[in-house]
Amino acid sequence: MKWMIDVDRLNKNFFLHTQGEAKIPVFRDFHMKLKPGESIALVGPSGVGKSTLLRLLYGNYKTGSGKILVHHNGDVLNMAGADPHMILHIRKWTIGYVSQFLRVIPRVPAIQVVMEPLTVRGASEKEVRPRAEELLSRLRIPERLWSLSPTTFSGGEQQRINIARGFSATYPVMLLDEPTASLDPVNSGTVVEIIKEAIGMGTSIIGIFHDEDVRNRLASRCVEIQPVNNHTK
Amino acid sequence: MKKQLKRQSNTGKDRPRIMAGYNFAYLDEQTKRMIRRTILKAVAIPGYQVPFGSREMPLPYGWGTGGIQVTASLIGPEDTLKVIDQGADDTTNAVSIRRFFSRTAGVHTTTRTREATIIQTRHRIPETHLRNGQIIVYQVPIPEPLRFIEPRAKEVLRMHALKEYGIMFVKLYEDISRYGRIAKAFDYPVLVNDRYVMSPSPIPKFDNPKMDCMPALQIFGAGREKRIYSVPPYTKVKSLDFEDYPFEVERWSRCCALCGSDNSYLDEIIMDDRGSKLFVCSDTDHCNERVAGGYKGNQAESIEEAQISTGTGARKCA
Amino acid sequence: MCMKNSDDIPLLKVESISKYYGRRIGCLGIEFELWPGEALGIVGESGSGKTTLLNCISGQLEPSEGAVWYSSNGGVIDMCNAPEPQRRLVMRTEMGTVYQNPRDGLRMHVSAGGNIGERLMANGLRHYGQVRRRALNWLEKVEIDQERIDDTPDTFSGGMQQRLQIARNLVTRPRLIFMDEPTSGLDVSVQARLLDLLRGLVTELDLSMVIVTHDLAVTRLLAHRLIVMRGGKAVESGLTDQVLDDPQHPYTQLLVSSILQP
Repeated sequence: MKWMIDVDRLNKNFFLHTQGEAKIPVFRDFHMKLKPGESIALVGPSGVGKSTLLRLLYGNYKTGSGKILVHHNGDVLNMAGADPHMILHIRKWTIGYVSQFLRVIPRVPAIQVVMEPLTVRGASEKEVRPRAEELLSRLRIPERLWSLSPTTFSGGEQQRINIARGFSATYPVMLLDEPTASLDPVNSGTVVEIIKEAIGMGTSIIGIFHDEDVRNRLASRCVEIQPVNNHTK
Repeated sequence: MKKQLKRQSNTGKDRPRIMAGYNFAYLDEQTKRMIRRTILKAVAIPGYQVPFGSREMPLPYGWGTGGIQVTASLIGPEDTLKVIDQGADDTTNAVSIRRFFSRTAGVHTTTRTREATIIQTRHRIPETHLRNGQIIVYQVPIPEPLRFIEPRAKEVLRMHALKEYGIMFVKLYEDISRYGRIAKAFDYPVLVNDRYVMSPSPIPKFDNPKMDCMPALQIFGAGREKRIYSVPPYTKVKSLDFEDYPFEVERWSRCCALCGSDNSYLDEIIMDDRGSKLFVCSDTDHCNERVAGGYKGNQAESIEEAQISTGTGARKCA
Repeated sequence: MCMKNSDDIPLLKVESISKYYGRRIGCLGIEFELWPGEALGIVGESGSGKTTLLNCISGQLEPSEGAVWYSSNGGVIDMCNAPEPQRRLVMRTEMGTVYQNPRDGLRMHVSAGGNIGERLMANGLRHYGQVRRRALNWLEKVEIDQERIDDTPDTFSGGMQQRLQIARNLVTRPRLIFMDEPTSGLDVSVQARLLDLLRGLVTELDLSMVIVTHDLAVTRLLAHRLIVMRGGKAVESGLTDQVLDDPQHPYTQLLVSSILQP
């Protein structure tokens, strides 16, 4: 296996039908390969499409043309154009994603939010609880908050819940969208440790790290994303 | 009907004369044929309600128009008819229907269960065991057991067709949760031949076990609702119940005051203005027969005196 | 364990379903597959054919064209042409429907316990004590006070009625549940509670679900996938987050941009 993810001639435009049919190109013939064990940091100016790329890789945005090939369960699948059922399966087992914001579900306790990626794989709560508790403790979430819904948590707490959730299960590939943003240096350090552990266990990473120090500690190489300048045609 | 059943109570006399201007048994022959065809179908599908073209009869709906049409279609000159109303032979309705058939069909009538070939009944099954060869015709006000649970007639038909009777048990469940027991005492639903849920007409549930494997043919006629259904002889009839709340019939702590019977269905009769009560057999023929055979209840004499002196006797005793 | 679901056949396969009301179109050429454990949202404005589609695939309305294949415990059946007894048996054991108006889905004059027990008794349970135990158990699951078991639903609040409907449907552990606007008409806090309850049950029972709604937030929370309908046609479909975050069709973009953010 030479690569985990192979992005080949990716094109992506946004069409804003409700705003005068505006067309915003984001990627044109974009290439990238993620090798096993590699940790790639995406760099480039704000608004260039770094987050968009992660979302394309996660199937959250629809690919215009080109291929996003993924090794999944011994098969090579194309995320662009895969049917939703297959994308869900890939998300369950192969690609993990830590977004910038936790999408909070009302009334679900924090500990369950963290265990969910494991329980959907069929594990019982009893089996996976220790892992979730370990992550929450390491990320300094007070134990009295574990059984509460994160809806009312502070931004930093929510972000740490989000990270705990992202790393409770292990995936061959992780997509990280500014995992340390809005965290204090101590917690930021813990998050870097957790990510390093995942890399140590064989996870390949594509991430956006604004903090240069974090980037230097985690990334094995950087990929720069160039703006697509021509806004018409 | 079978020969041996033809022995009449009024032996020696000729049959009553048919009133001039009426067809035999009032209904015209085409109508009777239509009803007989309906009955045949009903017998062929035990418990299934067969629609029929119910006719206007010279009595109001609710007084037995269905039963009377069934009887009129079945009765022949040789038959002997008994009509009971709540077990009694001497109530207005029973007397009128007997007289109707003795005038329009010229048949013999009787009050004796054993002697009758056709028994038309409202709300009771006689205590005397019915024989093979006899026919019991029930008057039915509302033939549809699911009526008050599922208001959509089309859906009800579908439930019967597909044997979806969960809702019947919801009714029983509601009773138990509300009263601690199945409170239904009359018109207690039954499952016929393991197939159709059927209303046994408003007979007391005391009579339900008599329907099971009864040697006589049972036919149910609902005039206003235009339905006929039947339980052929020796057909399984099971009263619906739960495993942990099995079907039970009512029991009385006392015996019939007149004949001393301890296993018949008793009516409660208020005797005077002071509210003193008396329990007597609802089936007058059964009671009379026992009294004639020498059985006696604990108050037999005093009652007769009371009846004579106050004139409040609800029934005549032999 | 890894390949748990992907080798399975879909639970529901909808092939080019169309329904005409005379010359008017109810829905046109809708196709999708639903896999075990998956929740599909059908969104669109009133009159877009959502409910017509739901009724066609849930066996309550005969489509004018197309086929619905359901892989029941006893094998794949053609829901449009299967004999009625078989179809109804599957519908009352393996499927459930939660209606927008609780009056359509509940027996209002029957106690809560009787409502929950009906399916059990319809499927042959003849033991009062067991019916009662399971009804109590389900009242607890849907967060209704067990003491209300003998009360009739017309004494319940709107949210309780919807939860009772859910209990009534789930008591036989169906595999597929259809919901028609289950949260409209409920105030927001009650809605959230109901949605969370549903989410929990869906995971716990490994339920598949088709949920019709005009509320995109509901689908974000409950549905894995979406079909956006307009004028009886599916204008867009895909993963819920993809459709909501990167809508392609002008109508979907309009719909998404019209959501009010508190």
